[in-house]
Amino acid sequence: MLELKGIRKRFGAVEVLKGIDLTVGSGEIVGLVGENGAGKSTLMNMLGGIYPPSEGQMSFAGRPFAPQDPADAFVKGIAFIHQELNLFPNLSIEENLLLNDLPTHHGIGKQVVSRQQLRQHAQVLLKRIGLDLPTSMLVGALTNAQQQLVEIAKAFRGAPQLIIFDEPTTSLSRHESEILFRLMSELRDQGIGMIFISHHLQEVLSITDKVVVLRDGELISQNATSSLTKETIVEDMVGRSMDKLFPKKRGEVSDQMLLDIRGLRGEGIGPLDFSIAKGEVLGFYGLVGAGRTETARAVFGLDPSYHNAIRWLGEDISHFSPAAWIKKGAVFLTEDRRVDGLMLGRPILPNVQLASLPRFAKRVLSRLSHEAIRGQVKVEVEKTRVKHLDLDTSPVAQLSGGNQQKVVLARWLMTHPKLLILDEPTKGIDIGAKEEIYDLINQIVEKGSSVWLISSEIEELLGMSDRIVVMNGGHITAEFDRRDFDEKAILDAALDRLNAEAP
Amino acid sequence: MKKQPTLFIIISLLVTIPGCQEPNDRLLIGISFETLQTEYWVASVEAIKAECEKHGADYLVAVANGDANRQFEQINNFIARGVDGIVIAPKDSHTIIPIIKAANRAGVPISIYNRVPASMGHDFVSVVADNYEISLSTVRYMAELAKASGRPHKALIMIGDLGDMNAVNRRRGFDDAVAEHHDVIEVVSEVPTEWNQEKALAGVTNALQANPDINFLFSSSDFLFPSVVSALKVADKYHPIGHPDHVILGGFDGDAMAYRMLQEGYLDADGVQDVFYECQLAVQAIMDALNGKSPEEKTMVDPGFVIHQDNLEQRADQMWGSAF
Amino acid sequence: MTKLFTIVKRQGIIGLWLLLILGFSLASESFFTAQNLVNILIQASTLTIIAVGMTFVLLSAGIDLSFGSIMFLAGVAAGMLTTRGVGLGVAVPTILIIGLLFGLLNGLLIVRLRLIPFIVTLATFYMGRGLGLLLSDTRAINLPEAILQIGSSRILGVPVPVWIMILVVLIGHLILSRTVFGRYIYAVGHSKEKAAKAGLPVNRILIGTYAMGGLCAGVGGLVAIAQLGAVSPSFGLQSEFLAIAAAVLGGTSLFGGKGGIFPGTVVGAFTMQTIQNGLVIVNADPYLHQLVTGAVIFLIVWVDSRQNAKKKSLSLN
Repeated sequence: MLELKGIRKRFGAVEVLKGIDLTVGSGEIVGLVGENGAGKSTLMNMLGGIYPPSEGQMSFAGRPFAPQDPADAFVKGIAFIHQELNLFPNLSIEENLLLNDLPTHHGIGKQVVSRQQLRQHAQVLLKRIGLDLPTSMLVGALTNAQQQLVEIAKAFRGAPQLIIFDEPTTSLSRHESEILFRLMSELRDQGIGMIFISHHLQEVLSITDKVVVLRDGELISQNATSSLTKETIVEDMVGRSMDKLFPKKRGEVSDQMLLDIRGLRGEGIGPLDFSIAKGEVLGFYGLVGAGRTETARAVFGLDPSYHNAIRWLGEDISHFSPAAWIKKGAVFLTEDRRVDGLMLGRPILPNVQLASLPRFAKRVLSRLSHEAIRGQVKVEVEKTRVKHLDLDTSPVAQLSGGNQQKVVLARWLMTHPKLLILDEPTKGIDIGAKEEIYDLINQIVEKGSSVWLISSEIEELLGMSDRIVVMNGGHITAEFDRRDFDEKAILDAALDRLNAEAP
Repeated sequence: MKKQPTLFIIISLLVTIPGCQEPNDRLLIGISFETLQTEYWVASVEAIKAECEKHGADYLVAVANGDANRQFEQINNFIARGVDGIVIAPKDSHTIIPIIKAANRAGVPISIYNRVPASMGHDFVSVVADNYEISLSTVRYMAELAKASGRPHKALIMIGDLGDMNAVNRRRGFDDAVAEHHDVIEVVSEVPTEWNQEKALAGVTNALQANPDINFLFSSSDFLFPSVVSALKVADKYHPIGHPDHVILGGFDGDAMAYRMLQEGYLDADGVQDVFYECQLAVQAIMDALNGKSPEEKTMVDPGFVIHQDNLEQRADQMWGSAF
Repeated sequence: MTKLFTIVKRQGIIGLWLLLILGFSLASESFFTAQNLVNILIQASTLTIIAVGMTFVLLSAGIDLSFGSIMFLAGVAAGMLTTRGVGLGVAVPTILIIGLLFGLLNGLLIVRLRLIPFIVTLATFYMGRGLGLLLSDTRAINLPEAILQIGSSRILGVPVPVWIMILVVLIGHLILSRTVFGRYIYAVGHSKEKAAKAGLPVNRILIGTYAMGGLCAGVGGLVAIAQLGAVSPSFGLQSEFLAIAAAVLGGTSLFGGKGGIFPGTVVGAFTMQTIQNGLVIVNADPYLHQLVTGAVIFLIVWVDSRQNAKKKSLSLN
């Protein structure tokens, strides 16, 4: 149905796509994987009509395909579901569905929305995706998955034959993702072709018929999913084997407790008891909304909380604040890099040195030794392998998400923290960058520091943690030592409704 | 930019109106006003200009639009341009202090119009109306009218912005005058207006609703009279002097509307700030200083006067509003 | 106090308003009379009308600080036209057009020059007032009887300002809740970027909201001077803040996309006017007025933010 032949794309002198041949049949789900910068987005943007290829032919439904703009591509039957939902939570489902084509009355009320027609059209669309909700509900009241489905329903305003999903599951929990996959297989039965872009290889393996791997603008492989494993895909993506993804860690977990928490209660969480030993990687697993982030925020003093006892290296701490923690050597990297205090408009140097300035300045007003700081920053940046042009001119906004994450890491590593709290450190970054972050975690624990790793990716936790704590509904429902790691048991503890409702 | 001509006019009006040319032998006086947003200020600036002309001096005018910082900069500009003296209506009694210091440093004599500086430790002359005294005598006059009628009176006062010392003093004057006549006058309503006409209208309407028998009304400023008249008209209480339902009316300032209401026989008494006299004092003080005469007193008080039906003819031309 | 808090929490601003009415009625018997309630309506008419305009602007995630200047210009224009003998049939439409054009100018400057609304309307605030002062020579203008007639006459027993207010609220509410333009304002107010991605004419919508704002300010100015009978140089000063306060009290978000005219803004405006009216009726200490108004705004915003925080934590777990 869709056929791409010898597609090339150049931006100036840089060739980002180097002759791609690709086919998608009707009723076929094609997984498109590759590291960030491999050319996935460029390829999809050409299908979506955002810009044309420099060379090569595209044909769709037996005819040459050269969309003028996104609207044209949509009319011709290609719908693009972007990673970021374009929904308005303050408008109803029906208004969101038909926003740029609101049905109106005729004659004098030409500008007045016809509620009745709006409702009818919207109901037809919702039926297509099997979502049974009152169309007048506000989108803001829907779950993430329902919002995703509404976004997909928008595609059915036209008659889409091919739907492109760009990272549709990043903001969904596992359970929610399954709802999406059920819809995708229903659409497959209706003969609709789909392209599924994802970093979650497990998902790609479970839902697609065929997997296409891009690397550095080239199509590396195009195979039936049934013949693939996660390992073979990763090998194609990064050009080396999977073993390296979770490098064996060498750190020794000490018997000495670094942080010990008893009876922690906060908004929607607790009471919780847990501890982190020196040199340990403690994994925190749970669904979105299970209370993992909230726990870390409460411990760090970002949200109000109560506790029976908090001990740091055996010493009782009654009063704490983020500033006090940082002084003690505990740092918290939140999920959102931008909120986390990256100065996006400034280059690497000021971003990395920020947290260490007090150490370099002996008194508040003393002169800083710029050379010493610069040297340190350079060491950290190299250690974290931030891909960069220079330290002091290019703003960090120009770096990829993974590299921005590494800049934040470098900043805190420069303060030599005793405890690093990482909330979803690899979310939305490519495999190569992930690998480097894992490597860094290993380096940190090797030096005797501890890491509290919060993640939704079970493979990551299995690969990296010494211990995994599972949260569900604001409570700790299970705890596993490394030798007892069992993916199924962990998932059960995270998903089990009965446990979740127990007080 | 189509708006440029208008914009230019506005900016030049707001920032600086250049006086006449600058011949070398004529004196140059800098006039700085905090605002020109009421008739009172416009009348004042006109009177000061006229006084300058009387003394054969040229002048520069700057308006700060309520911004004390800008006023300070404007004074520095005056000094830089080499003015011989400064007459200023300052934003308030505190922000004037650094301005006085700057003028003292430059050796330029300064007259302060309408407000008294918070500290007396520098060289200046200030001219103020005695807000307390003027409103006291105005309300006293009204109270005597009330007494003469032989009936008890229910009184309403419209209070200005309570952050403004002048408003506070006028209220004090009212309170003390009424207290002297508590046998005939009972204050039933105090309406805060924040110097806002809409608030004033609503306030008077509401007060008349609560106390329909109000028949004695003092407005802390004449510029609120349009609101008073509207509210009284709606309540069918706006009648000329002599009518059985006449409300004894008094005001403060001496503006054009008050003058007209006096002429038409609706207004009983108005406390007049003698703008002409004050401006004469302010400019005279500069001239004295330039001639080496030191002032007898740092603060000169305009006792003002009460204008009413009996002295309207004699004193009308001292009432600045009559000229408008 | 806790009981008060619970009522306000459950009923929001409407509950608070009813409580205020109850309180003032108990404090003074001349408060809860037909005449006084009509007075509150008349006095609230100007504020309600401009707050309707402000609601449009706030919903689009904008702000307009030039309302008071528009009212002033409209008033000066009314004064200049009517004192020169121009009939109301010409003067009134002219005033409305001035308001509309001023709003359009705001919108165009914001959209075309890509400046933030706060700065643009702060600039036009000065320009508008300066122009008005220039035209009026900084003198109060007394208006002819004909304009006062609008303010004091009644149709079917209801004062004309109240009719105008009802009309503006009705039209404003219908536009926001029923028309394509109205729904687009909510979309743009939530996120300009998303709205542009969805293919909405964002710039035209923004200009439209400022035009509506300007028009409402013009109408509000007209209704105000029809009651005042005069335009002083300080007419309209700070009206924009009252309008913002009324809209925010009524639940409209300063960040756009949330809120509405009815009952929201209307009740917000009525609440503020009820406070003003009630405090005068009970002859409260003049120093209390601003304190009480401030306290009420604080109470409502506090309750609102507490509820938002609770909702947020609910949706997280």
